[in-house]
Amino acid sequence: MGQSLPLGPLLGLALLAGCTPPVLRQAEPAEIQVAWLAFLSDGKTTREEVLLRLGTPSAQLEGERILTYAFSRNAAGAWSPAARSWGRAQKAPIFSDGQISSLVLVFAADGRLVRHSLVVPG
Amino acid sequence: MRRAPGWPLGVLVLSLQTGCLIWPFPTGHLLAGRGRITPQYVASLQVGVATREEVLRHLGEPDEVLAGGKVLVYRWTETRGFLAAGGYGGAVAVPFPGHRALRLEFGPDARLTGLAFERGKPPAGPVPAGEP
Repeated sequence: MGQSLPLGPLLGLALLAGCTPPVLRQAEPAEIQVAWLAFLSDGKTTREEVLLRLGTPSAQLEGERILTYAFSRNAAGAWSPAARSWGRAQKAPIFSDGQISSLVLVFAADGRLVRHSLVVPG
Repeated sequence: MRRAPGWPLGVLVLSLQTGCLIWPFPTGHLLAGRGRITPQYVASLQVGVATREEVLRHLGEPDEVLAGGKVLVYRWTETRGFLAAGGYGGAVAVPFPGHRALRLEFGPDARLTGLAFERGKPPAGPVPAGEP
């Protein structure tokens, strides 16, 4: 009598293999040091500099203490601002491009950057 | 005696026939949103400890800001399966979406008071991220 193989579970796993959607993760420091973000320096960069270089933030929280920017990257590696759209299925404004990165900038009361992070799809 | 291969093989065989079939396997394609948020990724955000700033730096820009910033919601949509119809000479498969969300609530001191994963379509009239 031969050993029976669990074909059902194996087939299911084969169908699901490699199909995990992109998972959010925090970018490595090297990823933040790309050309267009290299000017960001905690304790030095001011809110004014950020606004002049990156333009209007996509969101601001806690007054102007926390600014966020949403960016998408095209196939050539170029970055551009991203905006949400009203999806038919979602019935809510949501990003339709799965390659959106989110830059979060936290400022001190004097307007200097104190902390920042970049959240990217993994 | 060999065991039957199981229901997945049966579904696969059925899908090769003509007609209509719901293919209930999540392919994992992201249909909308910035990406899936896993329980493992938010495990470091402890209720009563994490601040709104820490949450934002960890998860990025929320999709909804409610109640003056006391509630942040992150949404994404992924493929839950396909509705497939076909016959000789042609076939079509339409994905059906699975709406997912992570809802985080904060107290007056801006510390995290609740964190919950949600499923289903969002209620009508959400408030886009912006000035709380």
